Amino acid sequence: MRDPDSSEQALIEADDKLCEVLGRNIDLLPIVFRFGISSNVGQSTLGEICLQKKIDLDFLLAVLNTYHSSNYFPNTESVNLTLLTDFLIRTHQHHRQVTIPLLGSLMQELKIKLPDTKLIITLEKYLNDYVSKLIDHIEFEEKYIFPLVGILDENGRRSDLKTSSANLKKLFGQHNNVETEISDLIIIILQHIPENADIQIFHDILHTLSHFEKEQIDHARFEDKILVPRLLKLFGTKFRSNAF
Amino acid sequence: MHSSSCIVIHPWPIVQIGLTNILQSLKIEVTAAYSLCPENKMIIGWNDIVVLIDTREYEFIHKHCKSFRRRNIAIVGIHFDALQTPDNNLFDEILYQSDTQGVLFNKLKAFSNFGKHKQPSLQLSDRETEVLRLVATGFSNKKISDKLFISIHTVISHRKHITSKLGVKSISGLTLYAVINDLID
Repeated sequence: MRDPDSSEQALIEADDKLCEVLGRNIDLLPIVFRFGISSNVGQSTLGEICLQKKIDLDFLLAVLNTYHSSNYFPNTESVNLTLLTDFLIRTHQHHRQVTIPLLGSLMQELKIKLPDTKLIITLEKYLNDYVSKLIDHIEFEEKYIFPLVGILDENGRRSDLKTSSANLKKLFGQHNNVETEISDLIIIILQHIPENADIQIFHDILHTLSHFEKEQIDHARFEDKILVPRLLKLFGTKFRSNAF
Repeated sequence: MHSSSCIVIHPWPIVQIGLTNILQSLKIEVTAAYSLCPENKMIIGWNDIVVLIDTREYEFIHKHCKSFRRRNIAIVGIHFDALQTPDNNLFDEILYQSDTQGVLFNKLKAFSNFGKHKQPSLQLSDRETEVLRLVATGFSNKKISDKLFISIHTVISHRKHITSKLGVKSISGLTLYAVINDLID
């Protein structure tokens, strides 16, 4: 049985062929797509693909390895913040355009197959509320956090310093809620699968939620451990890592 | 009538057959025997059962043990490797190659009523249920303390127990649990 998080997993490197990387961990496919790489270049190495498509190889390797293994984390100072925010925005787009609609359609399918209307209506309401909070969180990041990278790139202009720092700190609490609520949903569904229910639909929903949860955790790692500390440092705010 | 159910996961047919015979003599029903660990979708429906598994299936056990605890699934290790020591924290019981017939019977007999009654530790007390109901209705710790005439410290203690028993942490999650289980409308 494969465990992508196993400490024995080798790091993904520039000489690895894309098809081999995806063979080792197929969950990286949507991440690869977010870099504009299509899988039909699978026989090429990551280094060759980056050269051909003008993609920053170090950043691609940092992202793939972070998603591939929870034991890996890139050098915080070396990550290009502009590339990182571009990637995070594409991840948001993936949530909006793929994952959230997929969960919605699975819920509709469950509605048809599950006679227990109270259970399904309650689960659906929880999921809708969760999605609504997630969208608010995504919009908050895109409106108040990500543009800070551009401001700093321009020449370190420090307008609205107090507001920006407060927004950066606010982000941490939001991440915690987003992850906990999806984890709670998984646990509650597991505890309430009715006898003789269609196991396949529950499997599909749990698998999608579980994958979504992992994506949220990795996404938050990039923001909480790299983006926000780097921005706070650049803003000159006295930053204490244990404050978070 | 059988009093509880179990599943055997071991690559050796001789172990599967031997354990199945012992378990059946103890009126424990063996619902399935696997040579390889089953896929995720096969185990979703498992609840209130005993899983007897080769301790060498470390990845499977480690991956699912938390979920199994939540679903009241007991994990019994089958350990035939004299060179390795199994992790006791992962198992409710461990069967060893050196176990005599009597020891083996006694160890397995302890599971003869497993899963037929919900474990008391998983059930909320009346007070915890009341606190959960109020949390789900939107009451703060202070308001719960005033309403139930208990200290805030006691409210927090009840909330910790609720979270520990249900495995649910967020207020939204607790509200969802309360609605599904008819604790609130």
